[in-house]
Amino acid sequence: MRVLVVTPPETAAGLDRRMAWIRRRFGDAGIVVAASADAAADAAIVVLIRGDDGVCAPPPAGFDGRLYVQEQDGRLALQNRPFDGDEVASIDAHVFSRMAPADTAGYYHFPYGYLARYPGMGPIDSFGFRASVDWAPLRARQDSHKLVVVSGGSAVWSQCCLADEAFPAVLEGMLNDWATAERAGVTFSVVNLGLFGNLVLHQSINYMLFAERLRPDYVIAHDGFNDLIFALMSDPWLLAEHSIAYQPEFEGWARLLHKAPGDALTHQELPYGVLNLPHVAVRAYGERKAQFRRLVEGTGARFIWGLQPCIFSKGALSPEEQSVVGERHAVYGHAHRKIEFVFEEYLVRGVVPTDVPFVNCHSAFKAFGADQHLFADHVHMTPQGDRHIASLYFDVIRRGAATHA
Amino acid sequence: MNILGLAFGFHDASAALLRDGAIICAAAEERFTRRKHDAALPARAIAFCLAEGGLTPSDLDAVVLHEHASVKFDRVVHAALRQDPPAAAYVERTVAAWIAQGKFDPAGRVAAMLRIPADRIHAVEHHAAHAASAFFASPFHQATVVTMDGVGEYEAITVSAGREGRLEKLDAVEVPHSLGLFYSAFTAFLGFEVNEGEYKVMGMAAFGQPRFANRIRPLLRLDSDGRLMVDERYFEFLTPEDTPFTPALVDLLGPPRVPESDVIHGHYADVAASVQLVVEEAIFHVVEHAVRRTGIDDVCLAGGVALNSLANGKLQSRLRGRLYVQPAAGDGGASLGAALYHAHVVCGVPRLPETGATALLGKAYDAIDVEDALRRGSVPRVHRFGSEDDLLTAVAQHLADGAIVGLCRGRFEWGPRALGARSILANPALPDMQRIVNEKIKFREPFRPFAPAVLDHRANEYFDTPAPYGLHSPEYFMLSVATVKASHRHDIPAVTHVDGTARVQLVNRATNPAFHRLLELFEAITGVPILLNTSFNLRGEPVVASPWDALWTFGWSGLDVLVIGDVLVDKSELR
Repeated sequence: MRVLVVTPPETAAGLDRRMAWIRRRFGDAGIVVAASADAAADAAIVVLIRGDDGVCAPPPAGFDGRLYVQEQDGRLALQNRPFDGDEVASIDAHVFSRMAPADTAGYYHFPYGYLARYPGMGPIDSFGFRASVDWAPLRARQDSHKLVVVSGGSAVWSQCCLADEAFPAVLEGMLNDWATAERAGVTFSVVNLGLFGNLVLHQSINYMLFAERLRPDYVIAHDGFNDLIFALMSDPWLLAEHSIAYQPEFEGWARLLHKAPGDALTHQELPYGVLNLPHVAVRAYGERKAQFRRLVEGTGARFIWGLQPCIFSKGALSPEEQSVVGERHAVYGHAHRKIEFVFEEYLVRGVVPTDVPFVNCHSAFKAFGADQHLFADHVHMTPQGDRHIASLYFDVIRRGAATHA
Repeated sequence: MNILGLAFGFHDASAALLRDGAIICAAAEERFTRRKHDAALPARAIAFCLAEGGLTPSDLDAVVLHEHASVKFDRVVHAALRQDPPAAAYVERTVAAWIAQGKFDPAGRVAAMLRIPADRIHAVEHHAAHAASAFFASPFHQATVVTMDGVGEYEAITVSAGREGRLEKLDAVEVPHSLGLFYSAFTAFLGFEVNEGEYKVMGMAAFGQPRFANRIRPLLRLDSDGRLMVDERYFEFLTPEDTPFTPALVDLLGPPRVPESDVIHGHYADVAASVQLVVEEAIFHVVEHAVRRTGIDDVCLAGGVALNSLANGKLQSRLRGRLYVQPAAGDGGASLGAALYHAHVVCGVPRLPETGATALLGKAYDAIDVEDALRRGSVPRVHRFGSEDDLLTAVAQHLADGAIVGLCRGRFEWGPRALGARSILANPALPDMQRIVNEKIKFREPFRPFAPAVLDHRANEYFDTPAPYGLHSPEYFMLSVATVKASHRHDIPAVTHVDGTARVQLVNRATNPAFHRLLELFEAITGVPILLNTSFNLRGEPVVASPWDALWTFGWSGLDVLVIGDVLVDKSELR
């Protein structure tokens, strides 16, 4: 199979990393790199690399193979056909995946919560999880095979990192390297149970649906941003009386399911107002997380209470990070201006129990300065950022999850 | 006779209600809509006034607007067409905006909204409204009345003689020769928002030296007849497209300050100090000539320039007579002036001596409103007290312990100053308190100063304030800056500005009893009869009005304690 990779007219940063991903994705043998798509005739796959200026070479005329554009973060975005099993493993495995829109990335319906599909950054399964292998055999693993489940939203999925750069994957490598070096007699697998937009309530459901039967040894709940920002915008009565926060834009699912005119609401439908006081948001998040902890510990796993970092967590922003600060206000503008305050409220209100390992990535990132480019956007990490996060969790697990970070 | 005064259409819309010459109530629309400087037809402020007065619209004998819209439009068009070449595009945009905002027929809009006959709706000249707001709310039987603002219809400065129920205009200076626009141009030059950041320029001035005064002074020529002229080469007031200053000002003073930049010392602070000095000289020039012209020593001031408390403090020391400044001296106060003008000048209603002795003219909220807010905010625990004194004792103790307290009790204030009804209070003796309140409570620039509220009979121990002539003295409304006595500066560092001054608020037992009692209780614990007092709002937001507004601001700030009505909420218990 011949794969033609077309370099952009101008420069493209991180080309080595991006080419490595292309080679992993399509195999090394048939790759040809060219400056134009003229030679595409006998290629089965063409990849147009997008340059730093946002421009890629024009697509080949009349090409009917698989055409991808590789985005600046490395994502291989399929251009000219619906997703299939090459993009989403077992895409036909269940009715909701089969029936989901296959021509765009995004969310799709599931009876318990919702699923998300974001192909092009590495293997995903029919639920949208970053799964390169079948998890089922993990059920029957030996005691010396330790399983870590990482639960959260898109920051856990790590939407700006390739599969092996996402912090759960990095954490798995760190743990196994350590176990080998220490001759600990154990091996580790880390399952990335992050899914776009998940709140802790979704994490609890996904844990019950997919993870509990795997009998994990550790469960990391790496979250904060979604629960707190969406709580600000959620129905005040639901939040105050029942600690129910939700993604406001997903109210659009009702329209979608009932085939009402118009698509699901999107991020572009702005602005969402801030409807709730911070202590109510903090309280709801704390209650739901404590509930998740009880659920996890009830199944015999050790719970690690994480707090994710956001761009405001850093001591100083790099030039690249500075350039994206303004963008965060475009989405959920009102709430974004408030969320830093809510994070601080969360930390001073005594919500986090003292008898659980607490990995406070938010505060830990205060130590990082302008010399490190850790955030790809307001809440998603660069590979370097995810390595730092992996290190923080690695330290806790290595210490037997016995002390606070 | 019920008279409703209204101001709206440009910024700071408001409504005020008079009954037989007595001020029943007055409020800015922004307090209700929560939109800072809301300019819209003040429907909610009107509704409040009618409810407070127990009236329906048909009970109103007159509704009086604060300006003649058609004359104002005439000025805009004439100014644009006099440009060379004529600023046709500016006129076109202005016409479109006026049509879209219904500015051509404000009386018709009011008549339609209130469903009253059009002949009950009147208008007064903008500066007449300002002048009336000052003179008829003052305790003076006669006074020299000076108004200075950006611009009304054509006028930017007026001088009048007020005698009992009459106001005789003696002189006027028309735009572009405007002290208000002059100061605002420098507000923009210094990177602050016009009509919002003028206080910041005042605060910044203390950090600088007026070394540019000699460069700026020629831009504002003071004529021997008490008038002044702005050098139009440096400013664009008539048809401003972008900034109200021209490249000539940049050539003179260098590039403007970048908004939100940290630079407050050095060059830009020197510019602020210089423009403050030059404007003070101009104010003294205008007022002192006016006094000579009328032969009346007592002075009333209104218009936005009259909110320059730094200048007011110095002016007081130069005057032979007394000074009265309308607490809502800006355009927001013109509704009250419009109503007062109609009552006294047009209808001959006799003046009442107590008018203007309090600024607590806004809405009071009851216990039901407080309970609704607590329920809506899902507040888990509150503290209730057997008496007001018990409540104030608890508040005083919190303050003495270093807590920052939001206070929302009684009728809210008329004008931009918080005088103890919608105030954030703190212990002024704590050196770090200014920084904490600026950064963690109000989220604003660290250099901004805070005012001291002091028991009126103790003020002279701490401040070089002139002895108040009565309850109308500017110090009761936080409208005048005084020097903190050197011997006490270290006692109240949080309210002593970098230049050793403070915008003092005197608190009187008769007009502000609860706040006065709180100060007494605080003094009993700390020995200091003073509290740091700043408006209860977050940066860029209007001052709170309702218990819910107060709870919202409390939740979204670093405030430690909230008092709404007779209930105290402790942030540490908010979980």
